[in-house]
Amino acid sequence: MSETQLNRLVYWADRWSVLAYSPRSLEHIDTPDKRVIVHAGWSKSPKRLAALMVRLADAGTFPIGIDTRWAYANQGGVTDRPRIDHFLAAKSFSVGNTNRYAGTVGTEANRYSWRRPTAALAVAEALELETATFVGHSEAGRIGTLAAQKRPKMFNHLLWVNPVGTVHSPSPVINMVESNYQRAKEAWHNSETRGNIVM
Amino acid sequence: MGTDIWSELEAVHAANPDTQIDIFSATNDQSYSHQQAALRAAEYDFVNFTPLEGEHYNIYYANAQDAIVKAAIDRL
Repeated sequence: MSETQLNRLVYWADRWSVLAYSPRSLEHIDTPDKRVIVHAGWSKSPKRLAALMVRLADAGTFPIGIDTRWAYANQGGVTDRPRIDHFLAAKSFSVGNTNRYAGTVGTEANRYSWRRPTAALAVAEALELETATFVGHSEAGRIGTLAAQKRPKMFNHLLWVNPVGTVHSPSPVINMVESNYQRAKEAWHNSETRGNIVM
Repeated sequence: MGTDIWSELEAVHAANPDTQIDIFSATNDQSYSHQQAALRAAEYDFVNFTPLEGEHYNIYYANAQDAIVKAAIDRL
């Protein structure tokens, strides 16, 4: 199964597209099965993310995978939406990673480097999840801890393989993630933006 | 290259002491940064650490994916 065959949640939030996949119908998210937000780690292709989603669904979970290509589209000075869409469409893998930006965390210019935890929070908000498990590998440690610090009741279970963290003080990053999240929430609750949702 | 997950885990635990934290990692190459981070995290009593057998020490996706699925089956 490819990512194009999966059910998708996508909306435009704060100059960004938030994109998530699931092999299960996102319209039936209200299920007793365990809902898991999945961050597969840095530089994982959508094809491989899709394969992991299917395996987790077969294991009895309701997986929702965050497409990491949509995390860092300000890279290379690309800031306007048409160019971002074009830029990302050409990429099979994620276009950046948090390590690259670690030295300048918390600066306004670096705001969009922290779209991955924002995306996890935004997707959970859009799907009206009360609780979810954050599952992932490698960079998922960094992203999951940021998401859990912002919404500790929502992400009340973290499950990682080979996780890493952030060596810098998390304070400026946390503040950046929060303001990003608030912008994403505003976009989600904006009726014009919601018209672009695909599920 | 940041790998220190300690302070963040403390913050997560402080925000919600009921949060379940499960970490799976191999321990066969402790010069590897991911293993170092996992083993440091394992020192917290609020972290459930499970050592992995085999070649899960690297960041290549194939074996990591297997480990993620196994971990999910075990803990979800």
